[in-house]
Amino acid sequence: MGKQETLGDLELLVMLAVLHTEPEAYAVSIRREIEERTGRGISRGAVYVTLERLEKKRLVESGLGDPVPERGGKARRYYSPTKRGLAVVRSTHAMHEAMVSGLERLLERAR
Amino acid sequence: MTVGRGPGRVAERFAVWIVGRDRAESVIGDLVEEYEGVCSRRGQWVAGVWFLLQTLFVGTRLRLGEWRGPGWGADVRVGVRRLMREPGFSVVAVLALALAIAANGVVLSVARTVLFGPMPFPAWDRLGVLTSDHVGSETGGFGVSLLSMSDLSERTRTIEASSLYMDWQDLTLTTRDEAHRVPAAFVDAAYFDLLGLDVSLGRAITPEENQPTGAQPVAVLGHGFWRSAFGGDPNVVGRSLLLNGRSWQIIGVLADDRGDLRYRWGEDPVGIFLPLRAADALTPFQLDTSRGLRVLNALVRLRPSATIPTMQEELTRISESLAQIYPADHEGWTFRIEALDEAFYASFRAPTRVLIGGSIVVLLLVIVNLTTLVLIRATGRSDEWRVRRTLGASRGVLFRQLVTEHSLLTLAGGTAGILLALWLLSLIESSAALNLPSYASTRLEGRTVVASLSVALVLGAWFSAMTMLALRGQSSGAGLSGTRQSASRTVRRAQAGLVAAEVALALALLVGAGLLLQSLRTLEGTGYGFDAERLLLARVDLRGERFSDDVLRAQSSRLIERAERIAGVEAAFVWSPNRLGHGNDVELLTLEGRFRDNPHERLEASMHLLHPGTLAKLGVPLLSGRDVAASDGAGAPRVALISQDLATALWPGQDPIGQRMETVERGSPLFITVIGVVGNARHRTRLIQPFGPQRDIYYPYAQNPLRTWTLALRYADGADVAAITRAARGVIRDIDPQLPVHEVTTMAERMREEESRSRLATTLVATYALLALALATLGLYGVISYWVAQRRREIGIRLAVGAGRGAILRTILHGGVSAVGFGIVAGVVLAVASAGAIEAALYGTRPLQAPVFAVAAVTLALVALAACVVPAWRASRLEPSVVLRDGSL
Repeated sequence: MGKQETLGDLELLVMLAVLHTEPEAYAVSIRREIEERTGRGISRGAVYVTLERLEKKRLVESGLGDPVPERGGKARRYYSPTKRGLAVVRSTHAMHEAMVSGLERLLERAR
Repeated sequence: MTVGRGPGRVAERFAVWIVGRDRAESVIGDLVEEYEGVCSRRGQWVAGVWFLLQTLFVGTRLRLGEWRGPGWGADVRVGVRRLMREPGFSVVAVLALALAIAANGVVLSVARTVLFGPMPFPAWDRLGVLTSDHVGSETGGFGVSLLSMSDLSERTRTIEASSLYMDWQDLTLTTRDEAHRVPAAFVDAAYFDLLGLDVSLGRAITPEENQPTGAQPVAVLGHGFWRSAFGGDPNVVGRSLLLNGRSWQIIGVLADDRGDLRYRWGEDPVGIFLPLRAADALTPFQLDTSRGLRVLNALVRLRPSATIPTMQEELTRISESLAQIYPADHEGWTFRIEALDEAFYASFRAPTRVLIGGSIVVLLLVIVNLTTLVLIRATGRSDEWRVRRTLGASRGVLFRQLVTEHSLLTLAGGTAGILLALWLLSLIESSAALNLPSYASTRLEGRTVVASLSVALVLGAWFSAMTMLALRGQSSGAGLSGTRQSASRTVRRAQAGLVAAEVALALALLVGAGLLLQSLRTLEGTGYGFDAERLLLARVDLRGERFSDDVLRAQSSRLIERAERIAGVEAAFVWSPNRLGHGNDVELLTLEGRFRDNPHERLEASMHLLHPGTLAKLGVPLLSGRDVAASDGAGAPRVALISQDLATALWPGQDPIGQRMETVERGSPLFITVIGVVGNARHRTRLIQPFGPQRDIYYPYAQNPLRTWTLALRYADGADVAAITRAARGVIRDIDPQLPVHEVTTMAERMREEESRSRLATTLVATYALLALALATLGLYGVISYWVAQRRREIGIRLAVGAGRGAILRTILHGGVSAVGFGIVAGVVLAVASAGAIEAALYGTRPLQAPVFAVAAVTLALVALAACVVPAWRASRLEPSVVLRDGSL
C-alpha cells in the first residue's frame, strides 16, 4: 500500500474551514467557522500554528489584503487552498468515508 | 459602530515584541479586530487584559512552534553547559526554588481540604451540625435530646432532613476469651442517607429497626473495622457479635469509613453502627425520658433556600417558644447551627492561614533573591553578549537561549520541589500530627503540580527578561569598544528596593515565628494544676449487665488496692468518667433552689468522680473542708468537693463548706452539699480552654459509679515503666479477664500529642523565618558585593587620589544600611498589619508584643549589617594600583 499524504484532525478542520470561508478565509473567520460548526473551542495560537504548517506543506497559500481601519490599519492575511491541498482533503475525506460506512448500524446496536 | 482606537500603542508594541515583526501585520491585526468586539461587549479594561493575555498565548504558541527542531536541542545543551559552569549559582537557585515550591505545595494541599472543602458527602455545603447552647456557657456545643429534636422538626421550615446519632459511647466486643473496646455509633436510618453512605455487603439500618419498642439487635460494620477485625470476610453478614454481653446480628458492611464523623488520623475508626434506640439498652441513657437529655449529636441538611444565618434566626425563635412550653428543660437553652465544614475544620483554619502567608512570603523572597542573583550574573555576561550581538546573533535568538537556560533551572527547582512536597506530605500523613478527619485528603493534586510548574516556567521567563533588560542597559550605545559602566542609578535603586523588600518580608516572618514560639512556651508552661509527672494511664471500660453499681464500687476499690502493690508504683487511683486532663463532661449548677427558673445563674463545671485519697495522690491541694470518705456511700447524703474558681463563682466571699448546690440528674433535681474546696486544676483539654476559670466538681465515686475508668499509676523515679505496664494489665485481668484495656500511655506522652499540632505550625513558621533570614542575608551580601564589583575602578581612583579607607567603607555601607533601614520599617508595618491573621493561632499571647518585635528587628539588623560589612570592608582594603591596572576595562 502506497503512502499517501493525509491530514491530522486539526489540519483537516482548518482546511475545511478555509474551504468554507473562502475567499474571506483569514485566521479570525476560520476560527469562528470551526467554533460555529463544531461547537468546539479552539485556541487562536493553534489556528495560527496550523495555518503556518499547512502553508509550509504547500497545502494552502496566503497573501495580505488591503489595510482595514478596524484593525488599526493592518491588513488581513487571506488563505486559499492549493491544488495539492484540495487533493489531500479529498483523500483524507475518502479515507474517513471508508471507515465510517456501515457505522450507523454498529452504533444502533450499542444503544 | 465607530472605529475604536485599539488597545493602545504600548500594548501593540508589546504585542509586536512578543509575536515577532514578521507576523505582526496579520496576527496583531486579527487580535485588534477581535479586541474591538470584546471592548464593545465587556468594556475597555476587560478587553485590554484580554488583548495582553491573547498576545501572550498566541505569541508563545507561535514561538514554540518555531522552536521545535534542531535549534531547541542546541539551546538546551548550551543552557545545561552554562549552568554547570556556575554550580554555586545553579545549586542555590534550584534548592531555594525547590524549598519554596515544596512549602507552597504542602501548605496548599492541606489548605485545599481545610479551607475550601469539598467534603465527601452529597450536598455537603448544605450540611450542618446542630447543637445546644446554654446561656453564658463557655464551651458550648452541648448535644440535643431526642424529644427536643422532634419538637424542632415539627416547627422548622429550614431543615430538609435531619439525623440523630451518638458516637461517643464505646462498646465491649467479646471474642472467645478476649475483650476489645470498639468505638461505636448509634445512628438512625437517616444517617446513611444524609451522608450518602453505601453498604458493600448486606444492607443498612432501616427506620423500622429504629422504633423505640423494637430496636432490633442488628449491627452494620464500619469498613475499616470489617477489614481489621474480620479480615474482610465476605460472608460476615448474618453472623452475630457479642457486644456488652449481648448478641447482635451483623446485617451489613459499609463501603468506606466516611460515616465516622469523629474519627481522626491515628485513632480507631467507628467499628460498629447500631440502631439509635439500641442506646437505651447499651448506654446509661433512656433517650425518650427527658427533653433535657442532651446527649445526641444532630446532623441536618438545610433546604436549598435556607442559609446558616436564616436558619439560626429560626432556631432562636423556636428555642424561645420551646422555653415557654417546657421551661424546665428549655429555659436558657438555644439551638445552634454550624456548617459542617466549619464545625470540623475551624480549629485548623487559623494555623493554615498563617502557614499560607508564610510560604507565600518565602516564595516571594526566593523570587526577589534569585532575581538579584540573576542580575548580578547578567553583568558577568555583558562581554559575551556584545561579542555575539556584533557577530550577528539576533536578540530573539539570544533571548531564546536565555529562556531555555533559565527554564531548565526553574523547572529543575520546580520538579525537585514537587518531589520534596510529596515526601513531606507522606511524612505528615503518617505522623498524624495534623489530627485531621480521616476523609480529609492531603494528596498533592494534579492542579497543584501544574500550578507549581507554571510558576517555575513564568519565573524562567521573568529571569530571562530581567537579564535581557540588564544586558540591554549595559550595551546600549556601546559596541565592542564600550567600557564597563557602573550600574545605573535606577538599577541600583531597584536592587536596593529588592533588598528592602526582602528585609521587610523576613522581619514579618521572624515576628510571626517569635509570637508562635512564645505562644508555645506559654502553652508548655501552663501546667495542669496537678502533678502530671510519672503518671502511667490505662483506660478501662466496664460495659454490660454484669457490672452493676455495686460491682463497680467494689471492683474499683479492689483495683486500686491491687495496683498499689505493683513494685515501683507509689500510688494508684481510678479516675472517672473522662481521661485525665482531657475531660469535658460538663454539668450545670446553681445555688440550691435557683436551678429551674434562673437559667442565667447556671454555671458550667467539669464533673469528676473520686475515691477517698485520689486528690492527694493526684496532687490537687485540699484548701478547706474534707476529702471524700468511705462513709460517702450509696445511701448517704449527696456531697461534692468543688474547685476554688467554682467556689468563688457560687459564694463570693463566703465559706462554701456545708452550703448546698442544685443540678439535674436524669431529669430530676439533685441537691449536693459542699464538703471541701480544692485548688484549681486544668482537667479539660488545655487547647480548648486553657485560660478561662477552672470550674470543677468532684463527686464520690460510690455515689455515682460510672463505667469508664482511667487507672492511673504514679511510678517511682527510675522505675521500669514497661514492667509496670505489664503488671497493670495483669491486675486488670485479675479483676475481670474480659475487660478491654486501651489508651495505655504516660501523661507526658499524652501532653506531647496534644501539643503536636501547635508545635508543627510553630516549627514550620520558624523554619520559614530562618529561611527568610538566610535568603535576605544572602541577597544583601550579593547586592553589596555586586556594587563593590561595579565600583572597583571608582574606588581605586578615589583611593589613589587620597580618599581614606573609612570613607570608602562608609560610602559602600551607606547604600546597604539605608536599604536595611527601610526594610525594617516596612517589615514592622507589615507585621503589625498581619497581626490579626496570626492572633487566632496564638494561645495566651497577644499579637502586638514590643519585645518580640524588638528582638526580631535587632536580630535582623545585626545579621543584615554583617552581610553588608564583609564586602564593604573588602572594598576598603582594595589596592588602588592593582585595581587600576587590571580593572582596565
